[in-house]
Amino acid sequence: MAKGVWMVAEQRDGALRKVSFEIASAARKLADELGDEVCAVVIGSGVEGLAPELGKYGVDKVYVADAPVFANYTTDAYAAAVAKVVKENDPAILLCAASVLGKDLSSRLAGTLATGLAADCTELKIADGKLIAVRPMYAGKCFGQVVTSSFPQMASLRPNVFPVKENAKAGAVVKFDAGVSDADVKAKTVEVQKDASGKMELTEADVIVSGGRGMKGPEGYAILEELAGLLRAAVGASRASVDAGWRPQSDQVGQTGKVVSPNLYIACGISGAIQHLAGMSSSKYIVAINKDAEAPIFAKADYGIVDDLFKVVPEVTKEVKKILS
Amino acid sequence: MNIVACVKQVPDTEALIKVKPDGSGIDEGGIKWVMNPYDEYGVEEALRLKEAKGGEVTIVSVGPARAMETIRTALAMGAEKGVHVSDPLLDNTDAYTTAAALAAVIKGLNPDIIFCGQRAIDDDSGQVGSILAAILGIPQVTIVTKLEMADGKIKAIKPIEGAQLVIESTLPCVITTQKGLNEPRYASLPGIMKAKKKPVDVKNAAALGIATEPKAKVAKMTPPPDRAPGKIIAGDDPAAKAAELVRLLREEAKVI
Amino acid sequence: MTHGGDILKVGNEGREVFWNAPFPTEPILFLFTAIVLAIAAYGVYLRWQMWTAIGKPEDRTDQPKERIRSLIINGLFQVRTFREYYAGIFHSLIFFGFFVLIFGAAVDATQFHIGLPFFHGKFYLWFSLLMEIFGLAVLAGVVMALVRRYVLKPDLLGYQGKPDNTFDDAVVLILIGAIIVTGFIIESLRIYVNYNLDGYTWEVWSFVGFALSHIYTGISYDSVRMAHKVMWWTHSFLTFAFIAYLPWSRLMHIITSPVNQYMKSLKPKGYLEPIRDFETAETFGVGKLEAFTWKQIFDSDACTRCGRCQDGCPAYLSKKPLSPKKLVQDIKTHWEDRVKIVLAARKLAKEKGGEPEIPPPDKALLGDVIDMHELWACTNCMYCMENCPVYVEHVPKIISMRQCKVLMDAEFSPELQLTYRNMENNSNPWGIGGHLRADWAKEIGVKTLAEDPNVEYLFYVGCSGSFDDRGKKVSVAFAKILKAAGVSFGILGTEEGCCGDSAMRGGNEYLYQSLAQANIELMNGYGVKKIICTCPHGYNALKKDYPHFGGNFEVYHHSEILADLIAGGRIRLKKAVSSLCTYHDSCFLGRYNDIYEQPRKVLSAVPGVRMVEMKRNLEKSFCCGAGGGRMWMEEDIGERINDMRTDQAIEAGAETIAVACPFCLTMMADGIKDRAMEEKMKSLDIAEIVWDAMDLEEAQAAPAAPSE
Repeated sequence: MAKGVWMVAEQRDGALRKVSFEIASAARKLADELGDEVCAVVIGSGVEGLAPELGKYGVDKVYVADAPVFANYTTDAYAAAVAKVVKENDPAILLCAASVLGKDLSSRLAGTLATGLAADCTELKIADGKLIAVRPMYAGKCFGQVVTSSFPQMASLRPNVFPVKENAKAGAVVKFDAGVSDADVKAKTVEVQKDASGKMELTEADVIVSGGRGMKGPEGYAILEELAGLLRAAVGASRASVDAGWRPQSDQVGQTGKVVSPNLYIACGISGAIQHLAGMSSSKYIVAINKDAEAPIFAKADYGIVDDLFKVVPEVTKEVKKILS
Repeated sequence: MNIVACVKQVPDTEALIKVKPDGSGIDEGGIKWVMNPYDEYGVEEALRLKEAKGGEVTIVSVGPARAMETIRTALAMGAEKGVHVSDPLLDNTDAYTTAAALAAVIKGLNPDIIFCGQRAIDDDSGQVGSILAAILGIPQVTIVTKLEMADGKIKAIKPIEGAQLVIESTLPCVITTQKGLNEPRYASLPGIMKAKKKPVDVKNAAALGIATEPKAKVAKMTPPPDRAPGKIIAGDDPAAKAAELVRLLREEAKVI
Repeated sequence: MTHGGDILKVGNEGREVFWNAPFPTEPILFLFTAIVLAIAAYGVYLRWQMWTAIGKPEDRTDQPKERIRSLIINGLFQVRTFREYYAGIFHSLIFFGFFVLIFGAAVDATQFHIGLPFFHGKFYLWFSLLMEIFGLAVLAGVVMALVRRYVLKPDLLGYQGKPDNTFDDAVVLILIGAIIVTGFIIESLRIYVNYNLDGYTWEVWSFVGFALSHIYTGISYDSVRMAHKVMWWTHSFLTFAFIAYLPWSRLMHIITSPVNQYMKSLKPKGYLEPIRDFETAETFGVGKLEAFTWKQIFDSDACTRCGRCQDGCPAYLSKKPLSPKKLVQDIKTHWEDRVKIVLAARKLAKEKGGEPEIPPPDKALLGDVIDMHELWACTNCMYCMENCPVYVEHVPKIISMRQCKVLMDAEFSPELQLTYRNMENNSNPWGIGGHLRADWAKEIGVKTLAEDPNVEYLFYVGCSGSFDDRGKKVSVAFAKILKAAGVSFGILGTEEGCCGDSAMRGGNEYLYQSLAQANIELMNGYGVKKIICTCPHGYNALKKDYPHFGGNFEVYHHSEILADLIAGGRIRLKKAVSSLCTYHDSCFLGRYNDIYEQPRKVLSAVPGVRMVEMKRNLEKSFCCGAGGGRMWMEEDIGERINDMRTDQAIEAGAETIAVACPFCLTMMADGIKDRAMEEKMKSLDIAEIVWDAMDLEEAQAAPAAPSE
């Protein structure tokens, strides 16, 4: 009988990512309801020391596969390692991160383990001893409650959604040999290119900070770039500001520019003509900062601030810095 | 080169999504169905690969009868043939079962490379490509924004938070495609006309010998919590308003 | 032939035709005439062969009455040439001058061979005077033309600041001038003898020749007679040269222009022949010269390079590579090259037997001959066609070439691809969810035809009026006016679809027809008879193109309805709207549908409104830049057309740019923002101005549109 709430912790460069604590906290909550223990799997090279940190957030046992083959994330090696230890221990629930790599790993695991996976969940519940995973569908236009009939019941958790809650547990380390060698890795990560420029592609960015005519000139964009840097956001522009030569054409968002659908679109000094809206209205959340209270962008915005963007944006940057530190 | 591109028919991004009163699914009335945009990148990349290296592109789709339109769309773009897995038992099935159906078809095609969209914009699940690769026992590279092929290997760029990975993989493999990989072509009119006559095999679950019981079932659908109409953050102090905005983005919208 | 002494009697004034040209001058003259006519005829024959060598068939001989009418108005009376005064005047001086002189020569010839009982006395004197005047007219025309071409150098006689004068242009003008000058010299030499020696006192009526004759004072009559002979032959040979040179030079337009005027399109303005065989045709649009119809090719040969098309072309004037003149001339050059190869190949095949082997062109029509930036710069504003004196049809050529790029090659700008996808998926160019189409009407309670089909008019709102915040305000204003006036109307609501105009003009006929058919099916399903559009693009499409697909409706533009409601007293404009207002003609209303007066009447009826015209107006109005699918494309070459138009309104001193088209409304609002004139001027639809002036309940000033 499958038993235990398991999780895959995500580390990068030898440090656990915040989402791992979010998952640990969520796993703890589920385990408490089920009266089970929480086990985490950590894969990497030189990652043994990370286990106690997971203990802090409620993990009872940490299965660690520590080998040079795991130095860089590869689907083949990581999935094989997790699959092995999961198969051996037959957990009831397996949680992963819905980060970029977590999505890759969890979906591969679902295939390898031949089980169901609720991806990118925003809420987890237990009903009749079964996991009910709530996840947005249709770009958030509705939510689905997913019930998995196979084991482990897998779910990946959307980062920054589940609260981190300290709950000290043993965090005992159990090392295991994943039995993975370089030869098993068919898709190799040959290079990790750190984003030195910090410049994100508009169409790929989850967050976009965009400026329009209200930026008054090319210099104005400095404050947007600072905010964008903090949020890992791309900087966009309206047609008017591209026409004025303040920003390159490649930054233009709109009907005749790029069509984007980030999770968050922050429109600064953009009034919101239909040409612009056509390029960004499918963004999940829209923030408008504009002096003109009549600007049509406010009708589309989830949150609006009617004020001088040159006063507001630096304050927003300050606040974001606070929460990120 | 034997290339497979998997496509899914989904409601247009702008379609009005209404959950049926009993929560069993969405009301499909009035919906305009289109090819999943991420799959379009896959079809386009498949066609470009074919144009560069020669070979044939096969389109595979799992979906109800109407999904045939989407297969025809891909054929109009330039693919050679299609396989349509159509079975009421597979309607609205889960990622695993979809991938299993695709795998059953694709095994017989003996492909060098398989393209899937990185996710479908309806269920937003983003699993099919990986599960397909797992079932076929071949490597995968997901969410790819750049792809090169040389010496029987592919080299792909996969962006992750704050960096991008350069991944090399042996063939065959599954590539899941992300926006930015290419600009999908607009089908020419002769292409559209020719597509009507291109061969499409229609198969059901029994013919493929796959289990149809989904592993992860959407037990219930609910409309999203009423999203408050746009909030104008009131006040005179820019700093206070900025603080409130950041709080809302973090706690209410959960986007930062 | 002499008149003897009798001629000196009053009432017998006259002169000897073929004076000082004894036998065998006349037979020689006839011989040469025969030769030059043969040369000219051969030249025309060669050209004929070229005209008929390639091109698809097209019938342009129906409705001969209408065609003759066109020929008389534009060929004989030169009506369109006067749209440019200077050129119109000099051309008429030359044209009518020559016409009369040729008539005079014919009279001379008749007198010589048959004898005219009235060719003397008063008739002769007036005849002489007339010939002098018209001779001078031609000369004046030639001088004006030379001054214009070589001194004034207007931009329309060139391309991007560089004159496109050819050697031939000079030859032709100088030849005409020389014929007239030598004519006057001959006359003066004859008069010198006739007046001084023979006592022809009435020669003062030939005042030019008479004045010139004084130059020869002191020269012997024999020398003058000799000089006369030399000059006479010179004049004759110049005339022969003129005739022989005609088919080999721009003089050919003496033939091609009237032919083209006769063959002009009798279809509604801006008519486009729909593609009807999607299922069977192998190619669509024009991707190579041979795919044009013969008439489309003949057009390019009929073009006289007068440049009137270019003079008001928004693409050209905003410094984009497109010039309608250059486009047509480039097609012509390509045709001349290509047709020679084709004819040679056919000749060879005829000699050797078998099928002619025609090598593929070394230049691609699309890409080499016509640059893609040219092809896509056209706004379909129809300025070129409306102002072309010989009725060259530029726009259909452009659209048919676009059709090839879109339907065959699928190579066109990504912005336009997005627009088409949006139109395919959501039936509007922005791709906004179709379920939101009728949201604008929610608050004011307009019924849909589904709710109540028993209405007089369908208000076809169109995409801008349904989705664009600015356009929605116009729809609301117009719907409120209709309600206030008690007009029975309904809308299609969310069932309405995009009219397809932008797709058609962008070359996507396939998409256009599918959109049109969906609308027509819907409208016919509701038994719609009369339709009102607030968008001229929809208006034009519904009125002229939908009948091709079974949509036969009475279609009105809201400017027509508003003018009627005001004239009929069904709405009352009571609130004074104090504003200096200029009306910007929408191309699709004005040039396409001749609706110039109604919107101006509507505005003039508003109390307090003072009207001012921009320099470019009516048939010569300047496009806003949004037609022909350009609304959806980036404008990254040259100046922005809408900014240029806004400048013209600023120059006119207008406080309000009144428009009757949602595209124009957007473009003008953007222009006002670009020029930072938001505080001083605004753009409004005439319906908004009218609703405001009606001063009912919550009449409100429409805010300026956002630019982004």
